[in-house]
Amino acid sequence: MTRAHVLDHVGLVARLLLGGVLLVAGGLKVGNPLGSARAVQGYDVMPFEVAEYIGYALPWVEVVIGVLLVLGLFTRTSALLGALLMAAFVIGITQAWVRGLTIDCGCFGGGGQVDAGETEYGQEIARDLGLALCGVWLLVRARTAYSLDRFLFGDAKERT
Amino acid sequence: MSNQDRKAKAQAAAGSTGRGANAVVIGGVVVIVAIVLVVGAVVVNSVRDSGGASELPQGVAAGEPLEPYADANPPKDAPVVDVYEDFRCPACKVYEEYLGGTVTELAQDGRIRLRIHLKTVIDSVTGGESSAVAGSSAVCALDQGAWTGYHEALFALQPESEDRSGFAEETYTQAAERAGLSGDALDEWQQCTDDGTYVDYVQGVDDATTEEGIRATPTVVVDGTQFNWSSVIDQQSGEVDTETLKQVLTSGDVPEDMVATQ
Repeated sequence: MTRAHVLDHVGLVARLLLGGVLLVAGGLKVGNPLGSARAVQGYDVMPFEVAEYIGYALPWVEVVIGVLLVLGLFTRTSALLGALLMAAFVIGITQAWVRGLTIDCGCFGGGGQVDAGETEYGQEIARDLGLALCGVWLLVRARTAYSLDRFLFGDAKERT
Repeated sequence: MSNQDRKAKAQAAAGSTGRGANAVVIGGVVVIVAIVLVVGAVVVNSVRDSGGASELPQGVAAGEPLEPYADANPPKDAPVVDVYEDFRCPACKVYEEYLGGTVTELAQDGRIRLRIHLKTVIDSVTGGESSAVAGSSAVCALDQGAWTGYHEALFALQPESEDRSGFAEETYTQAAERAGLSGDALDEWQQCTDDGTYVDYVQGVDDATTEEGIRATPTVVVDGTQFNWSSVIDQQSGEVDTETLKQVLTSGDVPEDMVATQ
């Protein structure tokens, strides 16, 4: 087993982790756009109407990026978008924590106000940072095992 | 053949076997992604407008609360009691069971000005629009002069589980019959309910009140101060301190230890 071979599989794991989580998180929210809108509004960082549209669109964006990552298609671009999403989530959760809001992150549906003792900001931030790192890995090294990129475009594209 | 020619030829060959096809594939995928996004955006924008007829209750502006007992003509200086509720919310059912009767009585006597904000909190938890449909059906009952009975009956018939399906259709009719509607009035109420006449209105109220910061139900606000309504219920015996409740509502003054801290 060569070094490249191992790294390709690390990339595969990163893809499936970030893509899988995005796909599940988006999928759970697609059927409940109102809930998603309310979750985003709960962060209280942007105008109410804007938050509503972001809330409606976010599940679809997550699903699309998730599918692309799981398939390994346009890996580098998808990984960039996925990592940016995770970074945005980390910032959102951190500001909620710092400002003393007591909300559920709404990451997998749910969201909104919770009791002060029920917040899980620490775990949520740690998880999203981990997922962001998966994205960064793929950004640096987009070549992965079992990817549609390799199947469609060959090795050439992935080395760039 | 020069070296350069050979390179060019090799590149052309690579292009014809791979690059050309790749461009098509890339183009195709981009188009698919774009379609998914557009469809998603369209679906998303239409979700909150799917209630059918979108009428406003008589004399009520979009996003504004109902005043089911406006006929009681409360004096201008009567305390304003704002109640934010959702027919599917279990705590709202408890509130209705314990305090609803007293609040209704005070409003009917014109001692308070009662404003009802119908919210859709459980819809935002489970998806679907059953809370909005239930709220719409209650406004239909208000149109038929059966608010009090319908309101009480529908809370009593609240489904056990909070899931997407929400109230069964027949539950509304059952509540309407319990509220004493029959004949033409029942038919008109049924038509109004089936049309989802006020679904958009109720969803609009939820938007407006959420923007104001009222995210949970039931919330009771007395002359602008949030009232911790459960403080008048004895946690052990379950008895309601009706006198205190009346005192708070009719004075418009919420004692400091009864102010809700949400």
